[in-house]
Amino acid sequence: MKRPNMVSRVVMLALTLAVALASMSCEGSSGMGVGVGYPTRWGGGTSGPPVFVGGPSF
Amino acid sequence: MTPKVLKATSFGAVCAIALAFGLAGASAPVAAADPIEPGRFVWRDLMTRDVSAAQRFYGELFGWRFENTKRGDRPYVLARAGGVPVAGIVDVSAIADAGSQWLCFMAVADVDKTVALAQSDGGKILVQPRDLPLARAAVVTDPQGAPLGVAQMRGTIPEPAQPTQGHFFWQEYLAKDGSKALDFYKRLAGYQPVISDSRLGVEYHVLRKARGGAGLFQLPATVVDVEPNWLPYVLVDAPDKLAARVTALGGRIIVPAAPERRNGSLVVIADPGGAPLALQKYPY
Repeated sequence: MKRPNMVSRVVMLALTLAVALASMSCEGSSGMGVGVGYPTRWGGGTSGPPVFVGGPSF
Repeated sequence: MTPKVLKATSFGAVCAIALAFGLAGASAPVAAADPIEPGRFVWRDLMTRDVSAAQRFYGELFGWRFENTKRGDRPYVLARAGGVPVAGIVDVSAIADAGSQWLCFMAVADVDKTVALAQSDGGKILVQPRDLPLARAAVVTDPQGAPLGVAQMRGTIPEPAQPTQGHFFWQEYLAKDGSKALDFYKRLAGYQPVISDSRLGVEYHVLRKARGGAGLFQLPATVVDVEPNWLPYVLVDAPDKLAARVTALGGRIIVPAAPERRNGSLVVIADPGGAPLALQKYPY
C-alpha cells in the first residue's frame, strides 16, 4: 500500500507543478509593460474639447 | 503497483514538469499569420509617476484588483476587472520627460514595417521594436505627435461579444488635422472610416474593420491645450455618478457630463497623476 500512495503523491505534485508553471506562463504573457518618457497631451488637464459628437458605435 | 507501472507513471510526471517548464520559458516566434485583425486595440498601459496612487484610484473607481508582476527586471502592475486582465501600470518616475498618460496598443501585421511607416510620415520612435511575451511591440508617435503602442501579436486575445462594464471598450483619436490623421491610419491599419455624426460642424469618423473599435474627430481650432492623442474609453453604467467620486479620490473632471455631449453619457476625467480617461455609458 505504501508504494501506490507514494506514486500518486508524486503524480499529484507533478501535475500541481505543471499547472502552476503553465499558469505563471499565462500571467507573464498579459500586458505590455513598456515605459515611455513622453509628455502628456492634455496640457494642464483642466479642460477638454467642448464638442464631443459621435461616439462609440458597434 | 508494479515497478513497470511505477516507471511509466514517473516518466509521465517528468514529462509534465518538462512541458510546464517549456511553456514557461519558451519565447514563441511571432506568428506569420496574425490571428488578431490589424487595427484592433488590444491593450492599454498607464504611464504614471505614482503607482500606488493609481492603484488606489482605479481600485476604488472601477473595482479593479491588482497584481505585482515583472517585465524583465522592472515591476509591472497588472489590473484585473472581474478576474480579467484589463490594463497595466508602468512606473515612469525615473524617466525625466514622462507625463502620466494612458498608452493604447493597436494590433498591426508587422511592427517593424509599421514603425518604418510612422517614421517616414514624420512620426518618431519612442521605443524600438522589442520582443515581449505577448507580442513584438514598439511605441511611436504618429505624424501629429500622438503616442501609440503598436503590437504584432503572438496569439489571440479573447474579445467579449458585448462591451463589459469596467473594461476598456473604445478609443478615440483627437486630431489637429482630421484629414491627415485619417490618411495615416488608413494606411497604417487599413481602416475604412465611416462618418457617423456631423453635428456642430464636427465630423465623427468610426474607424471600421470587421467591427468598430475606434473613432476620430478633429479638435476645434479653439482648443489650445489638448494636443492630438488617443483617448481610451472605459464602459460605465452611470458616468455622472462615478464622476462625483473622482474628485474625492484625487482625480479631476476635465469634461463634465452635459446634455449636448452624447446625452450626458460621457465624462472625461484625469486620474491623480493627470492621465486623461473617458467614462462612457453605452448605448447612450
